[in-house]
Order: sequence, then structure tokens, then C-alpha cells
Amino acid sequence: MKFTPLALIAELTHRCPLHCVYCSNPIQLQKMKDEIDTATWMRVIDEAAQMGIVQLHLTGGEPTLRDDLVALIAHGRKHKLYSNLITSGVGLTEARLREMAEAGLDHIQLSLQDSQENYANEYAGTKAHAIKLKTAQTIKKFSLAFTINIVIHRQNISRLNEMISLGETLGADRMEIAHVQYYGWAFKNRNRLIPTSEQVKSSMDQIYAAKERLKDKLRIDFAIPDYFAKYPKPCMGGWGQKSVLIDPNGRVLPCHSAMVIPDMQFENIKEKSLSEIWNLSEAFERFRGEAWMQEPCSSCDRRSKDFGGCRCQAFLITGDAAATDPVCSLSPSKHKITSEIQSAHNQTQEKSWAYRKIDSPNS
Amino acid sequence: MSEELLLRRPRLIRNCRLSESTNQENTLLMPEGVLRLKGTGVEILKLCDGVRTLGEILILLKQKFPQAEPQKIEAESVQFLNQLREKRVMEF
Repeated sequence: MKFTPLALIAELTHRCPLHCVYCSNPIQLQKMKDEIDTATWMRVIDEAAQMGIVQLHLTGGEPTLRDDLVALIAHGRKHKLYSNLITSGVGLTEARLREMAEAGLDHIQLSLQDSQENYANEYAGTKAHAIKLKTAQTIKKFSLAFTINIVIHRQNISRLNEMISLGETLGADRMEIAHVQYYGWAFKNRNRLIPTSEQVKSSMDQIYAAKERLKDKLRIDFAIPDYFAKYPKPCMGGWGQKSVLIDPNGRVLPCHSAMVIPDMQFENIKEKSLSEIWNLSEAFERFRGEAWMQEPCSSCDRRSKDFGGCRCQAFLITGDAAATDPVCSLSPSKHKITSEIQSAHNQTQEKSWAYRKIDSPNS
Repeated sequence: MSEELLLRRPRLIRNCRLSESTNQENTLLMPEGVLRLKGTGVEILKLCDGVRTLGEILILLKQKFPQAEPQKIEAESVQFLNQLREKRVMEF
């Protein structure tokens, strides 16, 4: 079966002024000197458009740290791609925003960590909150579609309503509120992040109430926390089916976290074309379709809906990337998730945060 | 259909636009994904510019599809636009 990707996720850099404790980037962050150059990204955008990709997500790290960001937006626009910038908002000036808007940026997603400055700065590992609020005001000067992203977890979930009010005040068109997904740095910090089931339930009630209350004003999209779900999420809309991610040094991946799976050879865009890698590489083929599935997935009615869930999570929790996603209530490893949740709450003496950082100061 | 409804001016919400690629014309683009439109959906949406009223749009559609039953055009177009409104991609 042939799959056509819809979205290119361009992870332009791992450099970032923030050090968020739940960053979804891999633990092994890449350095500036290894980043692929502008010409290569331009070629990637050409090839993506030829393949039928319609969306370009510009992310990082902090994508605005790339000097060629405006040029890449303009190039995407030339190919009629819908472009989406995912930013911390730190270091984003009005002049730069104007250039991006003029280059044809469609949509901007600004992350906030909390409604209260001291907590927000604690989770980000830097004094970013006040700058972000200012950036939000600057964004409103342009006719860009504006989403505020907030990640919720055990420490900030009690301020959920306050955070929604902040998004409303800042004039967002849309909010994306997502429980932490436990990959990358979040997996490392999971003992301090995993909420209680009471918190999860209360967060869902608050979200549904806010959605109703704000339905004519602000659209709220909410990601259900899969550790507490009955069935897994259809991760990435299926491995190698809808999205393709290119990391800062050019590795072509089915998702932001796939590097955690050992024994996988991910090819590099510097060496091959995007369509060749997408269509023919062993890594993209590996979890496509259903032939790789084990029981209970292989005979389950839901297999065409959720594709067996997330391969990275299967590996992180069970050690087998081809296992049923352990969050699934039908998984023989579901107890491992239950015990992850329990052990997170049994820790009386909480350890300190592991802040996201690139290991070498010479990066 | 109420008079009041016919005077409203439907348009796509701000973060949503129709694809301009030649082979993707039936695709609605938005931050969280895409929506593939079926049949005459694209023709209807192209008329929804926030300036024309729903009444004007229905007249144009009836002119465009003279072979179709006018009442059917009205009912199906309004149903389609309402569905998009419920999905929060269109406002009117």
C-alpha cells in the first residue's frame, strides 16, 4: 500500500532559550554545527510539495533561532503549503514577526507553561513568562491565526481554569491543552509530572465546561492523557502514514521520538530524496500496515483505528517496540503503566527536575 | 429557512483556508490537520467570503447547478455549512 504524507514537521534546531522539564525533544540534543543548511531545507520543501504534502510545521527547539526561517516560510508559501510556526516566543521581535507574516506564515503557536509567572519560569528553567506575554501582544498586531499551547501535568493542573482565562485574555483564536506525553525529557521527569486520576478527571470536566462556555470565542483542543485512557491514541495517525519529521541534522523520522527505538536505521536527507526515504526505507516500512503486529493487536477490531498505539511508548515501557501500546487496557503490560502512575505518587521525597539542555557548552 | 439566517455572511475562520495546490483543491487546511471536501463542497466554500450573504450564495449555487433541484441545493448547502460550523472551521 502506498501512503501519501500530509505534513512535514521541520525540526529546524534543537537550540532553545528554554529548558522545559517536559520537552518532547530527544535527550540527545543536536548541536548547531550539525544542523543542515538552508539549501537542504529548501530542497526538502520542494520535494515535500511534489509528494503532495500540504502542511509545513516549523518547530524545534526554538525555530526562530534559525536565520533562514523567513526564507523557509516564503519558500513554503511559494509551494502553497500551510505553514505553522511553533515557538516559545522568546526573542521574537515585532520586525521579525512582520517579515514572517509578509512571507506568508499562516499560523503561529505560542507556548505558555503556566498562568503564574513563578511556576511558568520554574518549568521552563528560565525567566521566559513575562517575555511570552509581551510576544502574545505583538502577535495580535498581525492577522496571523494564533494558538496558545499549554502542557498540563501534576504541578500545574490545579491552575487549568486560570490558564484558559489567560489564553482568552491574550486573544488566542485557539488553545491546545495537552497532558504531558511521556517521551524525551518528560519521560525523564515523569515522577514529578504524572497526575493523579482525580486530577485527570477534574481536568476533563473543566475542559468540557470551558469548551462550552467559550464555544463562540475560542476553540479548545484537548489531548487526552493516554496513561489514563482505556485505548491508545492513533499515534501520528499511524507510523509513516501521514507525517514525516526531519530533525536538525537531517535524519528523516516518522515522529519526534522514534530515535529512542534501538536497532533502527534512520536515513538522512543529505544522502537521499524525501520520497525515496518515505517510500522505500526500512525504517518507514517497519511498522506500516498490520503484518508487524502482535496479539492482542493483530486480531483486534480496533487495529485499523489506533494502529496499535505508539511504538515509542511500547518500547519505553515494555522494551519491545512491536508490542501493543501498554496504555491499552488489553495490553498484557498495562500493569506497568499502572505501576508507573503509582510509583510517581509514592515518592515522598521528590527529586529535582532534570532540565533540558544540550550536553556540551560549546554547541 | 429563517430570513435572519439568509442574511448572515459565512466565512472560514481565520486559521483555516482552502488549499491552492492544483491537485489538492478539495482540501481545507488548518493547524491541526486537513479536511477533505467531497462533491460540491469546494464550490460552496469558494463563495463564502464573509461578504456575500447566505441568501446570495444560494442564488449563485442555483445558477451554477441549474440541473439540480433548487430546494435540494438549499437544504444540502445549509447542512454542509452547519457541519463546518460545528467543526469550528466556519463562522456565520
